[in-house]
Amino acid sequence: MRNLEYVGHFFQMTAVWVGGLVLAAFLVLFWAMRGAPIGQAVEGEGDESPHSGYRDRVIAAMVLGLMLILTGAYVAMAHGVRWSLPIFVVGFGIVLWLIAVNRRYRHGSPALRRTINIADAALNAGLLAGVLIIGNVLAFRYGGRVVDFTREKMFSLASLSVNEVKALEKPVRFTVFYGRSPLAVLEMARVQDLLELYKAENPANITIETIDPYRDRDQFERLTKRVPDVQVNNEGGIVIEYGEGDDAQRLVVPNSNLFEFPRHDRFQKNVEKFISSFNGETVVTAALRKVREKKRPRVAFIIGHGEPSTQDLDVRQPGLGLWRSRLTTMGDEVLDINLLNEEIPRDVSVAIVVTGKNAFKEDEVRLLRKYLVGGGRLLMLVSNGALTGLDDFLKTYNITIGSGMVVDPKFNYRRVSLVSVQNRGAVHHPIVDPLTTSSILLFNGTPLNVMDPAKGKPNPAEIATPILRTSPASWAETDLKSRQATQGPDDQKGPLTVGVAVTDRGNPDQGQPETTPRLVVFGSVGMAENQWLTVEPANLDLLMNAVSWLQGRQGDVGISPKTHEDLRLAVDPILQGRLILVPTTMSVLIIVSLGLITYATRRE
Amino acid sequence: MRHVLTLTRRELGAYFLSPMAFLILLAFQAIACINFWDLVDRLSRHQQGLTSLSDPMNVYVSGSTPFWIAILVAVPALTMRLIAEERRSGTIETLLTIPVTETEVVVAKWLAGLMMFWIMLLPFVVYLPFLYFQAKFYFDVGPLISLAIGLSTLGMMFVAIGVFFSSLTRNQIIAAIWTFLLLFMFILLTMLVYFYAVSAQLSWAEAMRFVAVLNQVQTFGTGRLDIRFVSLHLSVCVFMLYLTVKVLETRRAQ
Repeated sequence: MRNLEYVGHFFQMTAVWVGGLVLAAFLVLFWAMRGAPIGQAVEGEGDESPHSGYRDRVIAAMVLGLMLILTGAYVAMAHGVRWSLPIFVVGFGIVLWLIAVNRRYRHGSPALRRTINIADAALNAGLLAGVLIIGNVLAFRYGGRVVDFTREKMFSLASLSVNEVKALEKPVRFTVFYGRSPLAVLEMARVQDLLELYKAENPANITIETIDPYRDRDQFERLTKRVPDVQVNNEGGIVIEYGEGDDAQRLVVPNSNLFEFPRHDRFQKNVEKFISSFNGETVVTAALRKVREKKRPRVAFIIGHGEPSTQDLDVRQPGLGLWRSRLTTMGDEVLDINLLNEEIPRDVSVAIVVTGKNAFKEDEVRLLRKYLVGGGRLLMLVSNGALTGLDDFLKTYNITIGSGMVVDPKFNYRRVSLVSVQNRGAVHHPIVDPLTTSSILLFNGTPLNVMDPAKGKPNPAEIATPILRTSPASWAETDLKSRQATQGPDDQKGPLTVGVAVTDRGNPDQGQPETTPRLVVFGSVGMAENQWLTVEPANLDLLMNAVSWLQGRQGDVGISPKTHEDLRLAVDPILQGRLILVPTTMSVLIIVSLGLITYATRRE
Repeated sequence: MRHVLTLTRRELGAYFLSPMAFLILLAFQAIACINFWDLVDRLSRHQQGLTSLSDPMNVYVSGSTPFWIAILVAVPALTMRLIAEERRSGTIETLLTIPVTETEVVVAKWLAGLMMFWIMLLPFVVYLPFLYFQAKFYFDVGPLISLAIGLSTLGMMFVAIGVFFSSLTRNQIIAAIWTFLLLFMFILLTMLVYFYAVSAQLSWAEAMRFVAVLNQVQTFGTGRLDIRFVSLHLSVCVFMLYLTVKVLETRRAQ
């Protein structure tokens, strides 16, 4: 009984099985080369053949050499190439030496000829296989880039992102945590693919982990301990960790900041084209920069004039919360400043003015001037619906606010006060260049005018450049009481300027840059409101581009969102049937005809 | 290699002089019809994808089970006779005594098999112009080009495997069975092993995903032409063709 247990244990040892297999392989190979199993005489050997003992020893040594090469390959894969080198040297040495020495017997001994041929072929095949395997392993480890054939270039990263990833000095861990909603599932695949692209650029420093909070509970708990900002919700997102341990910089990017799409279209069954934008690359690259640089640029909203709330995230309300949220995700520290209580700190990189119901007071305007003179940058969204108190201030920068509301019968969106502005490359500026395929939605648009030297005396130190214009069919409607918009003789004719960028004229002789971004003005307050950002996500891209341009982060402007068009095939049942039947019938007829022609020709 | 063209023409002629090529083409036409029907049905439904990864066009052909079954059957059927038949009928002796090298013979037979493989895929292409121009469904052509390149390199690998097994035996059925088994391993087994490795969180799961043919073709179908996959296909193809040449050389030496 005890002996049986010993036997049982013996056969459970891996080494026994491996040894058995090696022995079996040796015997099979030996048999194949020798032409007869051990114990049987080999037939057909000529007079010039060496004696059988010598032949068997040569064949056995050849088999041993080949098996050593195989062992070397296994060691190289399992323990590294360095350990395999001595085994390879011995194996190849034995085989090559035996081939060289015994080649003279190839005419006299069929067994040795066969052995040399097989060893020769195995050696060549092994060498070729080795070269191909090494090439493929290297490609697998270091060559993860793909050629992107998609129209929307969804598998390509902008050069800015590539540079950002290559500049990483510490390891980065992306943790993708799942949401539960059907929408979150749709989003997740796209997010993972994007992160794979980052990994392919710097595989040594980037790891990707995926956690389902509902299934991998332990992992998720560990994540929430490291990053308490992670919350279980239906949304999902990415946790970015730069560095390791307690010193690591961590950031959470929710999925809602990555995708933009008209949410109501998801539930309308007859939508032929569902268009969505993916900002993942912009957001992740900015987040990487943020965790890498540690210091966050500060952006201030100037409040206290009855403007929409910067805290309101409700997509049905005219708040500015979505914009503020995007600024935070992009790595900015966002603060609200009331100029009646405090002035704008010097370290604020961009101040944002959104005009409201109440005009700016003189003291406030003075503080704005002081901020700009001190090197600050300003982004303004102005409207002529109420007094702004900023007319003189803007004139300093060669801009005047026009009268009337922008209307465009050709590109209005559902109502007169909503105008779609399309920049199809007509104007070139870093803020609008990435958006040549998008439309900007203006709500209650206000025309802006760049001061004409012929009509006034512009400030020579500032260069105002129009960056956004409406179509030639538009005009500025001044009769707002009328129920129907019709172009009157006093109405300013289109194309109307609704966006202007201002740069300081520098003096290169004194070591100053030629121009410095100073101010951007858009003629619509509503374009930044939550309710319109959800209808036209490109508005947010335009605003973010303007902020990045003012901050001098030109690279962030260069990453345009990836737009995806999900098409629905809208055909009637007759055309649907024709689409299937016509090509099928045509093909079948061609194949059958060719077959019959061949048959007939052969019969003749 | 100047005889390759003549030999390839001879092999292609042999395919089309027998009813087999036409029967296989008809079978592929039937599968393409079913696939396209399914595609039209999917495309007519409400679309709300946020990425082309969920686009029905991306799984046309690459995500079709009947297509893969047909490939598993058709490739062995096309390649089994290439050399085995010559050996069975004894014409290989004649072929090898004329002034052509083993490499020329192997490359010509492989090229003929590859051309048949491409012809088999044509029924899937026939429908696309109708969809684009007649139904005015302006789909992204890029992923289909990527898929075509991927399927071509995959076909090179599969046909080379078939040619190799055909060179090992006189019996076509045995050659077909061995080819089928290896293709089955490449197509299905690698994917199953990958799923197992992922579920068991094994370190080599990623490597398994790399060699899983289904994953490769899905990647091509989404518009990503991963050069590593192409390199893998061509490596296996070259290795198999080399082995086939060696087998023929050994036979000639004997």
